[in-house]
Amino acid sequence: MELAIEAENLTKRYGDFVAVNDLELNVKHGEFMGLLGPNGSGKSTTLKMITGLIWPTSGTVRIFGTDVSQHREALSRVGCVIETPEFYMSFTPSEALQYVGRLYGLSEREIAIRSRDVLEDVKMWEWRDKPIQKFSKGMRQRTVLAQAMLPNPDLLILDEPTSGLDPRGMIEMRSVLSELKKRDMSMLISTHMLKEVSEMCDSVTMIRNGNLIASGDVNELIMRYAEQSKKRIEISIRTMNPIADSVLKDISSCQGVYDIQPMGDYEVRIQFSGSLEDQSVIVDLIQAAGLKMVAMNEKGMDIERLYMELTKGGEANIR
Amino acid sequence: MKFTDFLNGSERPSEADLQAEGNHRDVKYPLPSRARQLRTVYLAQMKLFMKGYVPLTLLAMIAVIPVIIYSGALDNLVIDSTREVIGDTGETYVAICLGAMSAMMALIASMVCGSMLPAEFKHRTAYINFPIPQSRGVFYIGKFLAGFTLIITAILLAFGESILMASFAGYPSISTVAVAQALLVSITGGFAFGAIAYGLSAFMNSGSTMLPFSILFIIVPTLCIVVFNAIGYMGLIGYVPVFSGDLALAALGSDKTLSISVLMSTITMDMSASPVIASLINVLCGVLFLLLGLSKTRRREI
Repeated sequence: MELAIEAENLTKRYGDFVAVNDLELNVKHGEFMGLLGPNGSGKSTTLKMITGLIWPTSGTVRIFGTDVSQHREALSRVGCVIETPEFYMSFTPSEALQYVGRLYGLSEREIAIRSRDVLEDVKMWEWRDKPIQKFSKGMRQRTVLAQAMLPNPDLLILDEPTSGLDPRGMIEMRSVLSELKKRDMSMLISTHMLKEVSEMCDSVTMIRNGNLIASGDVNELIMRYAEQSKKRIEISIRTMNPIADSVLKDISSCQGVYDIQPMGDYEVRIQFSGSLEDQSVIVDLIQAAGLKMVAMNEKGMDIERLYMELTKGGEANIR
Repeated sequence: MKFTDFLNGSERPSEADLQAEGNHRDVKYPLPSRARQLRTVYLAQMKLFMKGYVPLTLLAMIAVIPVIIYSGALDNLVIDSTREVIGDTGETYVAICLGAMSAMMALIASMVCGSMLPAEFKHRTAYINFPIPQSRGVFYIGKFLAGFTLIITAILLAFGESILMASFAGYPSISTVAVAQALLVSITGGFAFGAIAYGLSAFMNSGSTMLPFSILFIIVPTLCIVVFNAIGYMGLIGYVPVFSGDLALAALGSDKTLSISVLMSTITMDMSASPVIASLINVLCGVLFLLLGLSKTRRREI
């Protein structure tokens, strides 16, 4: 599969300080990846190297197979929002998008059509002819996102797109980004909003002090970490029909099951620390017993706990 | 339907437009040529200038010339005595009108070109302009060309106005060769001044009008006058680009100009340099500073 971003051995040093150390990061075509890490962990530096704002000390970045440091054209399939950028304040959103659209090669007519499309997406269409200097930070942020989406990019790179937005703005921005997922698009998003990541992203890369500490599918990472660290999660299953004792017995003998607790006839709570495969065995057992499952919930390990665990203290290695 | 009408929403989009919108959602666009990108950056910078205070300031500076000449405010102080020294012809009248050429060139170049590049970093617009598929070179040159356009416009307006005033004053003829030489030196000098201010600004984090102005109008001219006088090469001083304004007026027959040389009255200025060769040097110097700034901009990490 074609990789949208392929970063190999990416390193950035400022004198003795290593901002990013030997980072490997691959974003597949159509994948939404969250880039997580504490402040100063190297997220923005990584995104800047990917978009050619700074040069790696060593290593390479390829976007859709093209080395971005050698060929600026690699960015023609990319829309970026890096480090809270600003438009020329005396421009209106229409003028700003016209400027960016022309640089990407859109005709005037295409700019008109796409501008309306993206400004409506970010709910800025009615402000299109007002000078940007009159806008609030959130409105400017949304205009910048419209700019990134204007050329129909195959890849969006966003650095904390919801920072500075009020709660409503955040929710709206999340909904805009979720809409993008329906299109055939890849995204690399750096954020402190873990909810954004768990809702939108397929995969996550966590870095700390410039080092990769975890990377992979969000659910898989959570399960893998729970499994490695022996952290238990609680799985709650509700069914339409009463759960027979024999089924409970079968579940309790499954790999990864520590304890099982019936909550009446129709619900069971399982203390679990196994792999996704082990979890699917439990689901198979219930279905094989002819039980109709109404709901299945997990409590315990989630992206927030995973983040907290991985970014504290010593190195965790669950690559 | 016109593009602006459509974008402004003053006309409702037709069914065909709505259809087209759907079609455009998944379109991939081929990149334009560098020349087209250069034009886009140039036009955007011109639009920024037009929305700012710079054009008004330039027009105000040009408008000061007839005000000073016709009000007679400086007649007793400077103009009459100058006319006695340099003579009273059509060219010298133009030269008197353009007496502040050196200061004007340094000020306009510094004002226009000294801060537009650092402002990109200060106001974070570089984060829009740099991670897109245009080379930094195109961006750098496009912005400079817009600045240079303003400088040329100011010089042409000042010359045009002065020639017109000479005609109104009743001078029967003005030497075309002298005006052409003065204009050539002024335009190439304006290029050099603009390029120096722009090239130097690539090394700054925040823009400045005063720093390049001080360099172009005070520091370098003073150093050159002192050094060239000390080594006995005053005849070559006209070839130094910062003296383009003085040389332009010299081509019009005037050795009186509002520049740092006025303050150094003990040293006699020698503006016998060839305007054509001086113009070539101006262009070379300008290109050199532009390349210096370009190299810094290409390497700059933000």
